[in-house]
Amino acid sequence: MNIPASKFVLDKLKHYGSQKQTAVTLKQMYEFGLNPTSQKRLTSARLMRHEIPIRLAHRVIELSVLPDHLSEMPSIKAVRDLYVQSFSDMLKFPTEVSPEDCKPEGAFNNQIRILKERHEFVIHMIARGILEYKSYKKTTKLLDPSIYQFLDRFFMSRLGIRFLVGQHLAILEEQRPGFVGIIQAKCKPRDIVEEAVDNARNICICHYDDAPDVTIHGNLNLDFPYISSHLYYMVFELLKNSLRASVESASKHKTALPPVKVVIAAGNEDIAIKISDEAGGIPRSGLPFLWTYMYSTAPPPAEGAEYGTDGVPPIAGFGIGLPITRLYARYFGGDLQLISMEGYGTDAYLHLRKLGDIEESLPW
Amino acid sequence: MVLTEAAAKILAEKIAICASRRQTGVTLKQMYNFGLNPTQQKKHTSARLVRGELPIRLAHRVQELSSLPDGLSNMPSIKLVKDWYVQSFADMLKFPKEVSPEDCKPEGAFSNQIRVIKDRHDFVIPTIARGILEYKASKKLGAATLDPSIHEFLDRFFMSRVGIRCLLGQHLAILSEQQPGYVGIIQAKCKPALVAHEAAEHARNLCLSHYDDAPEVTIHGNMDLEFPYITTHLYYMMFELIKNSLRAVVEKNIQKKSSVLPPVRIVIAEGVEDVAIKISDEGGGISRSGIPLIWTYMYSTAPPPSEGSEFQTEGIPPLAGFGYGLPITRIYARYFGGDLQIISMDGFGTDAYLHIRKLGDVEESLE
Repeated sequence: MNIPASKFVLDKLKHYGSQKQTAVTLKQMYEFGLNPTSQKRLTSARLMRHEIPIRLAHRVIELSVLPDHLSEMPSIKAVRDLYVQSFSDMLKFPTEVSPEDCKPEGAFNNQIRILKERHEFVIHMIARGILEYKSYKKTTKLLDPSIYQFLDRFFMSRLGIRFLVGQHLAILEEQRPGFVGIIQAKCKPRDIVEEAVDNARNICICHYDDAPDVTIHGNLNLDFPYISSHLYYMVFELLKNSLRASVESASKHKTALPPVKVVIAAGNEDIAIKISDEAGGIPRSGLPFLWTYMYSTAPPPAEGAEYGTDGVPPIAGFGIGLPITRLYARYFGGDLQLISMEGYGTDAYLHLRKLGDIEESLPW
Repeated sequence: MVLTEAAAKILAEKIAICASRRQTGVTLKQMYNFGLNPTQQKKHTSARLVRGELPIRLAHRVQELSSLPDGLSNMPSIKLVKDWYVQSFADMLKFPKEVSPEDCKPEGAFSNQIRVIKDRHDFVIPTIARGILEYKASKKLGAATLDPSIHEFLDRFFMSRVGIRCLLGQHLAILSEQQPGYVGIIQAKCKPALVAHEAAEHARNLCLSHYDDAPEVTIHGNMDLEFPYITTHLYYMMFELIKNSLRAVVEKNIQKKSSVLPPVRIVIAEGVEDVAIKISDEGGGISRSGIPLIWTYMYSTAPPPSEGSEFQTEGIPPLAGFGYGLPITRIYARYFGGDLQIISMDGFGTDAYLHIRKLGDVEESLE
């Protein structure tokens, strides 16, 4: 491990990297976060101080031992340095963080806020690192499956860390009505879908001057406890894809824009959301590529464009939207499946555990 | 089959030799092109190809049926099926490799033998199913699911059977007067909208005779699409899927005491590679954790149909049977490179997607 850090930090990385990560369930996080007292906030901070360095250390080690020189790509190294930095920052606090540091504006919590912001663009940095790797390998072809597995693991771990950190910071504050931290007690898929429809249609109209209608059916009154920001991310991503495909297909075939249809259902175990378009679909042989990070042969967005700094956020990006959406779905035991009928359209099925009793998915 | 010990030994050796040979896959396109305008010469060639390939395929199955895990090979019904395969193998060996033109005539000895073999194997699926029930009873397995290796055997075995029957069916069909628009059993312009319509009518009638009610079936998408395919296979698959959807819709509405049955919707699409058919119902769906079970043979916890009822001897054919319908349907779909996928939304309904290779250029699946 060629990591630029002091011997102290290296030793600690080894130590924490060998400890088991502890998974939580949505239900546990919800119950713990109900009516947060000062005592609970102190406990939460100490849990962060225990768990975050373990999770960071696991990733630092993995980022250092990637196959085939991937670890040496500049953007991958930059990400690793962020992880090392955040790891060292955590070690500045004793394992029994002081009550003073754990106050909402205390030193520990400010450190957690810095950590969260520091890692904001990690997905895009990693994407950039994969592009560097591809140009280093002079390949535009599919990469070794081990690299896609690394990406799944890495992004899944990031999701988990950000969930823990986000939940911790949220219970420090005044609770938003109806929320326990970032978990919405009565997350209503219909409301989320409507919000995502508005925003996705706006982006679509910005790019194409047109957008299909979206109709919502099924169980419109359903609500369940969930991280509404995750649900929004997933539905928005899927809608954006369906809208784009619909507009492009209609303009290619000079036909009217067929509406996109959303169905919401409540089962015993799951809630399910289906998003169906009639945008011509893709062949069965092309389906596996949808799950492949950055397979898109289109040129990658310009540096910085992924941050949405040039006014209009991109409607198609690095080719990471779908695999990341599936990770969000799987994180608490759900799933995302796509089936396409070439010549007709595509159906996306989002299944999410209703009871929140499944442990978060923790890559080793 | 009663044989002397010496004769049995010779037969066993021949089976072993044939079982060590590679099976030869064909594509739908090859079968189609070969079967166009069948001359006397072509019919003779077809017979010799069947004489070459059939014993190899039968021998592979005999070997497998003799060496199943965990005592399964000793179940009476499995042994019965094996005897049919051995008998058919022996029947083939009665003819020389270069079958005589005389025997190959439409009513010649070889052609008649093929007919006998085809009839003999008519009830292999329910007989194997019965064998599995015997096995479950002997192991006192109750409603427990079977070991994955047994499911793999069943998939392989039934896939092989589809292939053999396709081969025999095609051979026999090109011996006879061709049905207009057909090349053997392959319809040149198989029209999914028409097949869907017929399957829906038949399935609705069946549903009506069981429940006195059946939802409407509506057909959408590419209504004019045609492509060369084995129409009987397409019909089998669609009938099975529609039947499941109708039953789910009616039963859900009995539970909910609702009188309005939501229609079952069929969409037909044509892509570059595939023809795709979606069958959607609002029959309440099943949970995600239940999906793997629908692909297992005989998961059904309902009592199995009574002896003989699978042969449709009792007036109304059963609407739900051995729990073989879906896995067998998927085998039909996969046989020439297609697939069947099912996704359900618990609390709402189920979508079944049938994808079928349009170009017929994928070799039949042999193992």
